[in-house]
Amino acid sequence: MLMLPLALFSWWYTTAWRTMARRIQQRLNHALDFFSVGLLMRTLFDPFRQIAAVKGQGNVNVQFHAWLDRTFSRFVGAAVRGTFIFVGSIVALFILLLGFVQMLLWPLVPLLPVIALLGLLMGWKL
Amino acid sequence: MSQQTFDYASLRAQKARFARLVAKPVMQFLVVVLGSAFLIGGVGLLVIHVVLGWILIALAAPCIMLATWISGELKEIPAASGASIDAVLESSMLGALPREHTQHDLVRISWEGTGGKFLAMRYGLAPQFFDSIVSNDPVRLPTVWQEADRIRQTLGLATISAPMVQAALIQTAPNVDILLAKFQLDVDDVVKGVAWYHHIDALVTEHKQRKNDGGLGRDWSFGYTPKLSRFAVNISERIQYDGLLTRDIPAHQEIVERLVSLFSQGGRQNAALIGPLGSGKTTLVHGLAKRLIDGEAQLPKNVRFNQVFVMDPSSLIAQAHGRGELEGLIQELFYEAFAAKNVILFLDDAHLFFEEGTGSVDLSNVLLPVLEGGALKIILAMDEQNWLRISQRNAALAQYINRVPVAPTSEQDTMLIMEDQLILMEHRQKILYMYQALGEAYRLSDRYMQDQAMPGKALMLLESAAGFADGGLVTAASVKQAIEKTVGVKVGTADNQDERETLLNLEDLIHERMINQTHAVKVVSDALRRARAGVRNQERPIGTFLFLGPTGVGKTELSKALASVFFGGEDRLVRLDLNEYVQPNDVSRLIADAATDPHSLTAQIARQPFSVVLLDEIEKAHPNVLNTLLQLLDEGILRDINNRQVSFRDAIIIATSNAGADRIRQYIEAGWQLGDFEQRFTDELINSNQFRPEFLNRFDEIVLFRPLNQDELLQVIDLILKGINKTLAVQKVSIVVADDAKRLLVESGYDPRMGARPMRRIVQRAVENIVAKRMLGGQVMPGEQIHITLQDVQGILGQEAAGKEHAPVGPWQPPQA
Repeated sequence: MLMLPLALFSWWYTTAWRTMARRIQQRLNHALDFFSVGLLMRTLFDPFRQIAAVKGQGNVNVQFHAWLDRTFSRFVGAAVRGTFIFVGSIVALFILLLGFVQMLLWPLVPLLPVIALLGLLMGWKL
Repeated sequence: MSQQTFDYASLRAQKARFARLVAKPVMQFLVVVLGSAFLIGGVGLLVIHVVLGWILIALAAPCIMLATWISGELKEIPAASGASIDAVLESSMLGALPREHTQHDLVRISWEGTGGKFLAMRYGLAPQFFDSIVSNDPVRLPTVWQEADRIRQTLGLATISAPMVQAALIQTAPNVDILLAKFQLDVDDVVKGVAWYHHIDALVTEHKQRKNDGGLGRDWSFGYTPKLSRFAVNISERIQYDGLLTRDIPAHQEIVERLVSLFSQGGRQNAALIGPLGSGKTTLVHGLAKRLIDGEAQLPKNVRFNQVFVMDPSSLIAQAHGRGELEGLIQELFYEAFAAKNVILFLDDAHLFFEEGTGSVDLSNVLLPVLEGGALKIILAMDEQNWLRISQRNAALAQYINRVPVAPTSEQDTMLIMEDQLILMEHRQKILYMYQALGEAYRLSDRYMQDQAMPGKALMLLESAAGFADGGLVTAASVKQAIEKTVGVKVGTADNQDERETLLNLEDLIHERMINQTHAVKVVSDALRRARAGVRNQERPIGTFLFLGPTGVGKTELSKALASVFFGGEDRLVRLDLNEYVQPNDVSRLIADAATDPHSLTAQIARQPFSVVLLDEIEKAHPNVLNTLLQLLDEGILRDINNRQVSFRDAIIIATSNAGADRIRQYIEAGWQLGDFEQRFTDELINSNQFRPEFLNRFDEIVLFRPLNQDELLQVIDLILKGINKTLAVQKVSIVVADDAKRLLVESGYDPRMGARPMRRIVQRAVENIVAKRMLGGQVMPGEQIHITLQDVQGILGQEAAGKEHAPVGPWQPPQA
């Protein structure tokens, strides 16, 4: 019967810890995907929603206005995308920090009874 | 192989037994509640400066660890290294496996294991079946484990599951084939069932996992599509939210990859999926849409997150007023799709855009430039015939479009597709399909549904079988019923008492309608009995017969009697007078399309395959017509003018001919019996070039009909009178004709050249006229019987009868040839 508690501890410090790390990574990936961070960075300066005059023929004035039009659309696109990249990055950072704390606390859980015993003996209070 | 060893004390086995105790919902709930209570209580006490709170915190730790262990490992303990039973057996079964176990224990624990009831539900293999095939003999046990592990390895899975153990028990049981046959199964089917169970399991797991789909900003680099959203359906969006159950069939995967490649390369960004209705063209496009929006798929950049919009021609045509408006609308939609840069248009039934007609409009002048330009990503779908017709008219079309053929799926692939699709069907209709229903749906749809291809027709049949579910269970019998109702054909063996009675007494039932010709009646009845007992050749018609004999001896009547007695009514008789098919080009009338000629032979049989086909006066048909009929007689198949296969394998083919009628009469008059001169007569027919030997050889049986004698003609009179009485029953009167009057009717009505046929006319003229006069004269009241005497008949037949000095009627004189 001693094998089972040992199996639990063994699992806790190996498979379970690794699984937790993988889950944190998955959460991070999902957050980055939800805010399209990678995609938005790659297309940061693309015209927003293709709302822009199409390249075409015409005199210099017409072509200049088309260029202005496209530049404005790219500017709007970059602003919107930049905002989302920023928000997404903050959320990802938060998940990362939380995961880091989780990873640190994880090995301490089996030690809780020992810590509690020390706390009791030392008379620690919150 | 060391699967034969079982270490009861191994760590994995101990974990499994422990999991069996604690991994129950109630226990899990208690542990979580207790852990949370200790933790919250402990922290609470510490907050109010009670140091005893540490004790509660100390107690919370094991609870938290146990709860995490249960959900993280114990619920499904992964396989351990090594290959002994305890290392690879699914944990739910391992926990229940006694140290010393028998095959009966395996039946019991597999039944409790995950998926243990799958074979019972899908195949009807209940525990009683397993109990009947297993034994307590320990010698066979290692073989069972070995077989279960072989299945595991074949399926590439880590653990031996309950269905695998059950399949292994079946595979290793002696004489199991006979037992499985009762369930219409063989051993391979059971192994396929194990694969099916694990496939569904994998689908459910996949469905639960969150997919990366590009996120909120996925489409910001692409244009808005307000018009497309209104006039077309975004199937990518639908798949993203609802998911799509598709199996990676190699043939379909290949086509999806080809489409991805076409749309990601620099050439013309279009494809025409050419394949018959039901071959899965639309499903392929759904498969493409699913692949393109999968954020984790390996795809070229220019197609990643492209969205597929289906344009429905009929709704577009309905919404636009007039041709000009429609052309304008289509152009706007095309421009929007092009400008958006992430749209692939899918034109289902694309032929409707290329031809004028009801529900279709020719927009070639709008579409061709777009297809020629090749910049707009577009997929067309149509069948081969429409493609050929359109490309014949617009030669440029074939040049501009990348043709992608879509072939019907194989039996194996169709079964896999059905296994996937029925998950949704079951969910929608709250029913359960048995495995046998799938096999039956494939077999029967392949045989009887000629207007569609696989897998569409098998799926359609499965869907309609839901209406015949028995207690929510769709069985092979449900599928048979569905096809019987939709096609009007009897597909199973005779299994109800009424039908068996009919089959066993077929000769008597037919003889209620016709006199003598016992040999002919017998051969036809035998053919039907063979068919309904399931022992006939399924690749040929039920029976093919050539009836030879003079006119009016019952050839046609036998065909009608068959149609009525067995096939369900005289409307089941498809009759063709082949003296109307004497020109070489009359073949085209025989196999004309149902749309142009609903009375062509192929059209009638396609509509009603379970019939009696009567080919009257076959000797008069043109040789080209006879050659066409050869394939029908041989294989039970005829191709119509559109090259669609029409099956005659559920029909009885009866050809009649008067050829040699005089010769038959001569033989009979010379005192020969039918059986004595049959072969000689057939040889004479061949020698006199009336029939080619290869044609006669195609028939199962050549049946000679002999002229009727006096007694038989009198019986024919009785049959005719019976028919008249049936008609008069409405008026509540009946007739009785005196015997001498009947003899007069025979003599007046019998014509050696026309047989008994003119007799019906004479009887009707004589008897019906007498009845009519008496009824009008008020001599007959409802409920009375009309007695017709010789004088009555003589009076009606008048001078003709009187001239023959029939009164008194003397002894019978046989008609002279």
